[in-house]
Amino acid sequence: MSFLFDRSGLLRPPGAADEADLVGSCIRCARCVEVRPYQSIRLGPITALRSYGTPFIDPLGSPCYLCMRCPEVCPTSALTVVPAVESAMGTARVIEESCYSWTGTVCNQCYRSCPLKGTAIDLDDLLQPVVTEACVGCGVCLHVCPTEPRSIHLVPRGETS
Amino acid sequence: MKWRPIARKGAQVSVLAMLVAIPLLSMARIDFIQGTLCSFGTESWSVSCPLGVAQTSLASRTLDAGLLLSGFAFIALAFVAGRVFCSWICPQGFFSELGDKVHLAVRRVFKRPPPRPDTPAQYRRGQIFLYSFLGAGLVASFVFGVPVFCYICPIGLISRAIVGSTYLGTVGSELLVVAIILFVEVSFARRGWCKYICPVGALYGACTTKRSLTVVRDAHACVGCHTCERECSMGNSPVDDRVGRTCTNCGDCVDVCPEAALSQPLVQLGKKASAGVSPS
Amino acid sequence: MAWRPSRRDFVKGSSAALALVMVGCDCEGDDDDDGPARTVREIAEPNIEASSWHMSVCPYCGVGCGLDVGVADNRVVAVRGMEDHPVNRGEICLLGQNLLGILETDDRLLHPMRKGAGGMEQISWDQASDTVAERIRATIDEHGPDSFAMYVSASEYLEEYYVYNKFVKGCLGTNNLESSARLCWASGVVGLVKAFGGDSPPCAYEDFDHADLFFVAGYNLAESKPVIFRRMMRSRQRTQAPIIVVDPRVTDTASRADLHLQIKPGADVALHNAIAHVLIGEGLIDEGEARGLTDNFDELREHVTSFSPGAVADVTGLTAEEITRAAHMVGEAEAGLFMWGQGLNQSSIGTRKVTTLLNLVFITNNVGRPGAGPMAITGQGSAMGLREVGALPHLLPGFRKVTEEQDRAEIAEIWGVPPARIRPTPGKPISMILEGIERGEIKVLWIIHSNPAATFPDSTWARRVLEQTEFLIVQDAYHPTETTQLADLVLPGAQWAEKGGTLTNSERGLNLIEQAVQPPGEARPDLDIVMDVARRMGFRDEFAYENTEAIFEEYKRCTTGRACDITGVSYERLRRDRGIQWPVPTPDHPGTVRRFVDRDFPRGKVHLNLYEHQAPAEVPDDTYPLNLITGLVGMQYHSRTRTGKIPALARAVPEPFVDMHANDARVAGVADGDHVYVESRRGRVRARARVNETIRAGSVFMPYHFGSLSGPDQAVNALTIRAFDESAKQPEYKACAVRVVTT
Repeated sequence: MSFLFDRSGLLRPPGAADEADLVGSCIRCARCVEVRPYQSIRLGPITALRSYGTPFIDPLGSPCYLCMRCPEVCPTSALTVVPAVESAMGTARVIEESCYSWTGTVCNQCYRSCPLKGTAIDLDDLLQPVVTEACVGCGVCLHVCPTEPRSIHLVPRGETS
Repeated sequence: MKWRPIARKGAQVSVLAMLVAIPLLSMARIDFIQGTLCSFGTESWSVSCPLGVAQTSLASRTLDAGLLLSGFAFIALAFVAGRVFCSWICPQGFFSELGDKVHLAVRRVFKRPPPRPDTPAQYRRGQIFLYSFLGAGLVASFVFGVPVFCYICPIGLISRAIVGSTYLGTVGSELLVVAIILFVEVSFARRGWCKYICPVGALYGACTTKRSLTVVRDAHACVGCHTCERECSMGNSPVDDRVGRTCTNCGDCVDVCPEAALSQPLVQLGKKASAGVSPS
Repeated sequence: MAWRPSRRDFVKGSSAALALVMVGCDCEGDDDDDGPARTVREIAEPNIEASSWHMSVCPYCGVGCGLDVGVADNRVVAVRGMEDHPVNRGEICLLGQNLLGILETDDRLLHPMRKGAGGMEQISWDQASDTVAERIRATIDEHGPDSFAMYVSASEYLEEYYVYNKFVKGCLGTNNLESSARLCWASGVVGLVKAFGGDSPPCAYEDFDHADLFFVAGYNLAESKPVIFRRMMRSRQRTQAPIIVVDPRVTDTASRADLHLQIKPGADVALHNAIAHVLIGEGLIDEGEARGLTDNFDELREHVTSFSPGAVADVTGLTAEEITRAAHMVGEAEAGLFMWGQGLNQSSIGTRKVTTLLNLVFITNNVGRPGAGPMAITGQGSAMGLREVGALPHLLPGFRKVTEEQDRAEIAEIWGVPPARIRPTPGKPISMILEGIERGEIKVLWIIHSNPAATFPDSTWARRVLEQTEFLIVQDAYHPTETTQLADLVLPGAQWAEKGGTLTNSERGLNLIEQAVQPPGEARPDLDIVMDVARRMGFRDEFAYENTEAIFEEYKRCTTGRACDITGVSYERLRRDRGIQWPVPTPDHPGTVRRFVDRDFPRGKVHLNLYEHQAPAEVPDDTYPLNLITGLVGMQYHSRTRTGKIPALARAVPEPFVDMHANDARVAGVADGDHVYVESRRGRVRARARVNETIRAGSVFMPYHFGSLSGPDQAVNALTIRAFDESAKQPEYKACAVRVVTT
């Protein structure tokens, strides 16, 4: 029955409770999905098992832009209002082997697009992007990365790789 | 012209329209309200499905004052007016009633006899199954840490399917469950989900008291034509004073009685329901 | 190239190189070095091996990075930075790396088409060329040569400009040959000419490695010239040279500055004068040297006495301390490199801003030394080249002028046309060409590879005028663009890699571009199209060239003895000496890295220009309370006719956005992420609001790349204003009045 206790591996919205608490307290109401101005939150399909009907974000389609509206409309403790810098959604990691800037093509779109620009992704002295501890895992960098496949990997909180 | 059927159908359709309108309005920058029947509200207030509140409280083993409060609206409604949620608000109820019309038509086509109301024994068995199912689900939510009914509750499934298709442009597999339920109901278990399985309905039914709205028969006016029990899709029999917790107060029997012998008095303070069987 | 390493080899090699660098490989003392080894990353179609490689240069910006283009089966299948090219040493930027996707788009224009009753109808080349020839002949016969005009992009090759110039000025007899460099660097060039006495950018990219101060004014190098920016940062890492950035926005360039002067838009003249005031007043310059270099130092000294830092604090929005600090940094530098971009050029006082900046360069003696001087890197790849070849309404090849009789005679002789045919008065810049169409004076307009219907300010007006042109010919590689949509006749021209020629980059360096593949469909190289029309009009002898090289050889004769002398250059030499910088008077001359080392200025000395501050043409008021700044984003180029079709580049900026300060957003009732409407007196645009701290309160920023084809209410230039620099006629894209509303 381990599938009942799996970690979802999903990227959760900002202010999300821990996985076990979230799948228990989320009332599957979709208020976070509907809130404006972005349409970044989706609901887990039935194949997500325990996460069915719970909110997650697919940064390839539409990342979280840290507008922080979703916890405001959540009626349960699944999403709690926190400041953007404490969103704790996950951590990004630059894949240096394929990243343009690390391999001779000057790009840095991730740095430019980061909502926490300069603090969550910074550029080293050679103008190569480096993710810092301040990264909250919103996924904008992954979304805009021009390589195929993307040269940013986003690890949701609670996961290891 | 009877106003109640029109008002009731209007209310059911309005609920579906609101489920579609809220995400569309949000996209048009009118976003003071969000949500579905699982929970909806504005910046200042919330109304949530009490079964959802109960399940998530058990699943997460926490009690959240705000969340508990938001569950009270529909509970209070049930205390006062019985299972009106089922006949005026619930989208599954809307589709189930339509399905019932189909069921009746199919019966006529295949020249089957018209359906009979539940016998007291059938009613009792149904209630036992219904509340066992409710209890089992609440226990399961506690044990497995997820609100288990939400996987099959057609109210949530329809709500989320609407959000998915209007807001996200996706169509999920939710409606498959709804289709299966309706198929079973149309085929051989008339209003079966609503009567024997739906835990939301069960919860509202459990909130009804002697003082809640129900159908009352004036024995003197009644001529025993049994039109009312033929009309009732939930297996009740007002003519025999058998109106139980399956009654959703839809008022169809009241409207159809040729002698106007039935009524739904709003307030029954201090007196037993005259000639009505109090829900057992 | 004999050895073609695989991508894995390069990645492995680069990782090793980087590792070595981390360990601390010391490369001091090598003039040529500018930091750790770069890698060459190849972008290639999977599973296809290139069967031949060709020399090329990136078709986008004015830096001119060298590229190798790999071809198989007449398709471009690989692109990589040219490893040993002096400009970029194998590095390229994001745009250059995504060139594979621009050639085989769905909207390539493959056949000539004529506007008929039911829309665009395909016609044959014969019909098309004959039609063009007839229409030009008819309008010249009936209304005179000045009823014709030609408007070309600033990314064409030297040979193409030479042909256009000869055709329009030498054969048709009108000087209405204009290029889109007008929208890009006109103020900069006029400023250089007013200051130096001639158009001769003195610096080389090498100067980035030697400067001990970088002064960057109105220029977002990080996003517009990424390769050069990285070179600058590498150099600075080694030398610790400070960076001063002057910009109303906190751009990526500004955020890496040691001193960011977040100036109020338009106040640059006051700032430059104030810095001069401090430099002179506090004795931070050598006045003797300044007098020796310039012809009017004392006039400047007198002029700037009223421009103390305190006096300009209000108009610039800067504190006296900041301005003084900037002046100290400038004064302390031994070799200051001064760069500027559209923040200065695209203004109704662009020439004033540029010349007052050049004043600072001169009084600090920052000329003719490694690392010192004004570095003018143009936006488009051939904006330098077209000036040498004279593809502007007032010029002739070799930096000659149409107004000079001697110049006309010399060129007429080389062209083989009667000197009287070349008109002695300058033709019209694009703003006046469009006005001329509106007044009915110009009847026929031939546009080559440019998109003014999207990029000209007040674009709604521009589109109306272009549509009303009696006969509009548009030659482009793509259809539809905002401009081809309005054409009466479209001609399929070749794109980058489909035609060959030479380019001059912003450090006066020449490069040969080999034709790598055949153009698709019936598209043809642009100069072939023009020469075909010219021959049909009877100018056969003038265009009897065997090949592109023959055109180059004829053009060379125009440069002998001139500032841009390239007599010593040939195609053969360019295959070896890539990026050789003019003047190159003889075949064994090594090229000229830096100009005016011997102070050999065209007028003997340089000139200081004295100006007052002047507000932009349209300033915010009660109805339109915000100032609109338009500019680029790093992932897109111009009107997106190429970069808009590459998903990897387009997804970061799918629609126009407007950067707003939090105060202005609050007043307008706008939250971050809302869709809003930005309105000016001329139009409106629907954009996504971004409320952040990158912009001064009172200003908003929008990317200019979106035109009417991007969707309804998406043309950002519908907002901008037709205000032009007094001398250079460059539009003012950086200042007009707008408001932001939510409905």
